[in-house]
Amino acid sequence: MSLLPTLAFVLTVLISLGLGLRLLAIARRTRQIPEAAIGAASLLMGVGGLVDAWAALAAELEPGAWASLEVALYSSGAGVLYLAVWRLFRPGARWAGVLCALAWAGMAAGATVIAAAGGHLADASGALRDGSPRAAYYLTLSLRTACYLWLALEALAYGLRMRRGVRFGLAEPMLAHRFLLWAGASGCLAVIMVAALFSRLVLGQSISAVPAGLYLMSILGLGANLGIWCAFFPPALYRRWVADRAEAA
Amino acid sequence: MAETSPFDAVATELERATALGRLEARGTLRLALRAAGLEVGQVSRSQLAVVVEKVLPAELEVRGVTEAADVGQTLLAALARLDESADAARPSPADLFRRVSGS
Repeated sequence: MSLLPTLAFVLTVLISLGLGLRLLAIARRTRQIPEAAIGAASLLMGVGGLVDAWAALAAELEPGAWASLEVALYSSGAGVLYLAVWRLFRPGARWAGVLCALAWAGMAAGATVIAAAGGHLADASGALRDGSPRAAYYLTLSLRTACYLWLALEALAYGLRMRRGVRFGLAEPMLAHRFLLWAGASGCLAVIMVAALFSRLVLGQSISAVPAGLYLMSILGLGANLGIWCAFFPPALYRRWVADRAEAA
Repeated sequence: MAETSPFDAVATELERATALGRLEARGTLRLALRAAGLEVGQVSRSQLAVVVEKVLPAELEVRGVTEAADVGQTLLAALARLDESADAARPSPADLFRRVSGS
């Protein structure tokens, strides 16, 4: 793998782990579901990334088992993220709870089928093997994609509402901007997932086996994770920029 | 006696103070809240007061309500009569960012 994608991947995993640990530490104090769930999701995704890297480096050692673990970690992360989106943006909505339950059931079923089949999804070139549990694979990938899309849409809608409130002094400019940043970052992650699905379904290849796809995933993934970090822990420079813009408006 | 929400209190008074019917009064108020980025179920008394002063007059003028300023004063008086609990901050998604690292 070339330098840029490798560097981007390493940084992405580190940011996910750091964000997860920091949010979980905060959640210990606040005892609130959203930060606990988002922290757990970020940590699971980060660990999933580590497993992904280990599987790529040591593929000859039980590759199926590592693939099963990877799917389980990513699906668990998405599952917890579904909980976060529900409790944060739609706490009183029954449909959101039903949606989460269906997503959890689907991802659990998919991960279980993949594990039962030995996790042997792809060959050395990254193409799905004949006889591999494709339906289960596509199900888990689609549900993970839907999670990021839902988060992006909810954060976008809320950020735009807050921005309207800023005009009348009813909302803080920095908070509105952070939600819009979070929406953009989550949207980028959703784009990566959609590209991964497209690559599998149409090209018959893993997105990382397609050079353009690898670079897209690397740059968007790193940018998205940096965006999420800045949304949760905005650096002073970002705060000053938003404040200056709000003052000028 | 059930506690009256700020929205219900203002909507009822708006209906009394103008020629708007019940549905029209509530709809006009909802539109004003939406323009200000607020939701009916989560709006507090102080937030609604800002909406009444800054957003609602334009909506009332569009609906042919004359003397929107007088109507506004009536609505603010109705809000002032509400219990203090109507000013309690409702939980919102923004609380997440405030808890994590301030505003």
